[in-house]
Amino acid sequence: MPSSVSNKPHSEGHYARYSDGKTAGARDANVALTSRGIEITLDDAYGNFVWPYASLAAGEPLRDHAVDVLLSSREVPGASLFVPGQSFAAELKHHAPHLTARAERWRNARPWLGVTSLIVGFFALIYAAGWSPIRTIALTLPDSWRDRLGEQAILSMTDGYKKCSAPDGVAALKVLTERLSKVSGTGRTFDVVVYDWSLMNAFAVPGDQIVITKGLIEKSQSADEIAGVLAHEMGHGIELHPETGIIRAIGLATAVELMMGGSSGTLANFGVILAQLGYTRSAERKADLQAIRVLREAEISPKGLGDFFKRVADIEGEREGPTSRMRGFDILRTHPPTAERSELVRRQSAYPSTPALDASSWRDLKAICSVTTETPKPDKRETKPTEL
Amino acid sequence: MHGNQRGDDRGLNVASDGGARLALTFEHRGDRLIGLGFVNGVLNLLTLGLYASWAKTEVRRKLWSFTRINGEPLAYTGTGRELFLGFLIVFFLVLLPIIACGVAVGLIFAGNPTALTAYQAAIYVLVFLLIGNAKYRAQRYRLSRTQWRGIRGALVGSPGRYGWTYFWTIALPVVVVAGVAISVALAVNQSAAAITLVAGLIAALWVLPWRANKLQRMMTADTRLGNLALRYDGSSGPLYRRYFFAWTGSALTIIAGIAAVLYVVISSGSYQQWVVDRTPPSPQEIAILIAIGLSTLAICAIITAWYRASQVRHFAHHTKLDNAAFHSSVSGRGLAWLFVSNWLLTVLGVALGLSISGVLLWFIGMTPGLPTEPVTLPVASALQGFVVLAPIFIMTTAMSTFAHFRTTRYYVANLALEGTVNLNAILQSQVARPKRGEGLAQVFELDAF
Repeated sequence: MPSSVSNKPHSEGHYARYSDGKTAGARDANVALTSRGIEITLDDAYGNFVWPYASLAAGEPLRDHAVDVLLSSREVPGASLFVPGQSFAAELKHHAPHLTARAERWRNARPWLGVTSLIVGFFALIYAAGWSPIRTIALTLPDSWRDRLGEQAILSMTDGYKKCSAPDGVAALKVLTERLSKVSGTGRTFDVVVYDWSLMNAFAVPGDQIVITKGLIEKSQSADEIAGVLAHEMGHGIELHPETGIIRAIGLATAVELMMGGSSGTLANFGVILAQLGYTRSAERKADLQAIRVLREAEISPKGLGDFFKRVADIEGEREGPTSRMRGFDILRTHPPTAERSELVRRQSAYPSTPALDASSWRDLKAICSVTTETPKPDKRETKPTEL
Repeated sequence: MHGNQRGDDRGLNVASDGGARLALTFEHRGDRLIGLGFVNGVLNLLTLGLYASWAKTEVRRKLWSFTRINGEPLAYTGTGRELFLGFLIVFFLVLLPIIACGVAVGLIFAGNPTALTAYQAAIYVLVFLLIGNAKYRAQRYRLSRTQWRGIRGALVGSPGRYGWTYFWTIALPVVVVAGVAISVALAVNQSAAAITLVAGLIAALWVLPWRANKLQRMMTADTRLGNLALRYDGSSGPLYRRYFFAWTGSALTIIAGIAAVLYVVISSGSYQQWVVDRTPPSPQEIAILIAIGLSTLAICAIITAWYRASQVRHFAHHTKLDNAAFHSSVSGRGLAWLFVSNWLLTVLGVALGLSISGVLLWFIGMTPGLPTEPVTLPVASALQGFVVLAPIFIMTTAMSTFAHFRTTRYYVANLALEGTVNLNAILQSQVARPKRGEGLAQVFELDAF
């Protein structure tokens, strides 16, 4: 305590400094806690007056070991009263419990705790009812919008790669696609394109469109494997995962911005990524289940899908499922453990099946990238085949 | 209301000219806000962040109350409600339209990269235009909610004017450099243009002391304590001697950082892998690049600490209140240590949080039959995610509140007012108080205060 404010107790009550809020000057005062409120007596006979407890606000919430208190009152806007000394602060807490940190926090947090319970309850109810609002929105998107979204996604992801367009390969792919699409239940034929891209990859985008890479075709050992991958990606399309993914990302970003505005954004974004991963894994399982159904109805063996999982596992160097101790870190995976997926395929009962493609069509498909086409530019969508 | 107010500052150190000497102190009496940060973390978590405005307000009330002039505390009179409403308004008027426009533009110009890039650039310019404005508004709100002996602070100028100055003083040099680089690209070749661009941008950093001084002058000249105006009489000249070392050090660090990134990308064959094959970089590669980026920034922050300290001292020294001038004894070493130690606190927060998450997960792992069926998976994921993130969130909130406390303590404890101020001549501010505050600054996450 600097020497400038003396802490000497007055003959009765407590020493204080009173400022009327009109100038930055202050004058000595004597204050006492009475049943009506704080009685303030100014030193120089300007009279005394009372600030009722209910009208008080404190500079900072009263705490247990406060050594001084800064008070203001609704009764005299602008005026303030500074009371040094521990005993006054301790006494005031009993008369004006609404000024304590605990009381203030509870007052401020209670409505939001209520709101949060409602929000959580609402989502729990939706979840329990099996209703997905995001899926509902995805279902109401017009097909033209979905196609557009898909084209945009393909353009941004394959920018710079050429489309594989050897006519026989395209025809073979069309046969396979139609065979699978017929049983997909969407009523639309999927649009599958191959890109001259050495990375092993396949993805579904909105509007029932699928992209697979040359790398994936090259590393596949049979048409059944390609059929398995296509069925899996169609599974995503049937479940509208690409569409819901975009809507969910926009919705989550907006919600997080709204809720976390001004507080720790980075961590919140990490939370969004984790939430997305959670959805991704559940989406992969659903796509796997759809793939198995599609393959069964198209009378193609699911073994190709299983072989493909195994190949991916070999490439990733992941032969065993995660040990039980690592279970907690499953959360960081985008795909379910491969062992689990292979097991899913193995569990399927046998059914009569024919190869996905005959030998010559499979050879054609393998050679689909022997002819490539420049990716159409958005402005002029003419295609010009180029011989490799 | 209580008779005429005769100036009565008995007990204060009153000088012969009727002014008083003012002692600035920071008195926290052992409360370092770690506990408050922890409680705020828990409440923010339980309310999905909706409580954050009230949490921030309580922290401010504490910090203001620790700050004393002649033993009497400053009062922060802002409320969580004001912050929250300010944020909501900006969210609906600025952020949501930006998000909605982004989605619409994405749909309309699907597959037209030029249009999308142009839109992105326009949004960046718009946001940058708003940043100075947001800073000014935030400062105006805080000053209007800061009182000493009931006398309010105020900021009386125009946010638009400040925002525009904030914008053009950076935009103009950048445009000039970009123009030169484009001419070089046309006249010579692209790699010469790239070198021109990097060198030009590093050279353009020389505007920063001039710019900082200009902005400080605007802000200070607009600041009022009651009806008393602060005066600023600093020029940027004296800043440049120290800036030379800060600039040289940062320029070398940035060039070294760029070189390190290029080395990693080229030596590991990653260029082929990422750009040509478009394979996403592995987590290790991402970690290395992030580490290079962060250490470049950290080294720059440490190297420039001495300059930044001299800037704070310069600003304080040239800020006058009545017959007094501010004096800051902030040092480069002090700021560098503040930066390093606060950064370590963040790491400590994450580490503590992770350890708690680990223990909790271990407990859950022990629970037999953790659901793994597809149907129950989202619930399990959500649970796991909560268990992992909640402790990290709470511990980092506690640590960042502590860091915030340390920063404020350092600046306030090193600030003094030399000379005298005639307190009785300071009358209450008649400037209208903004009704809501800081929405823009909050949306752009401008600063922690």
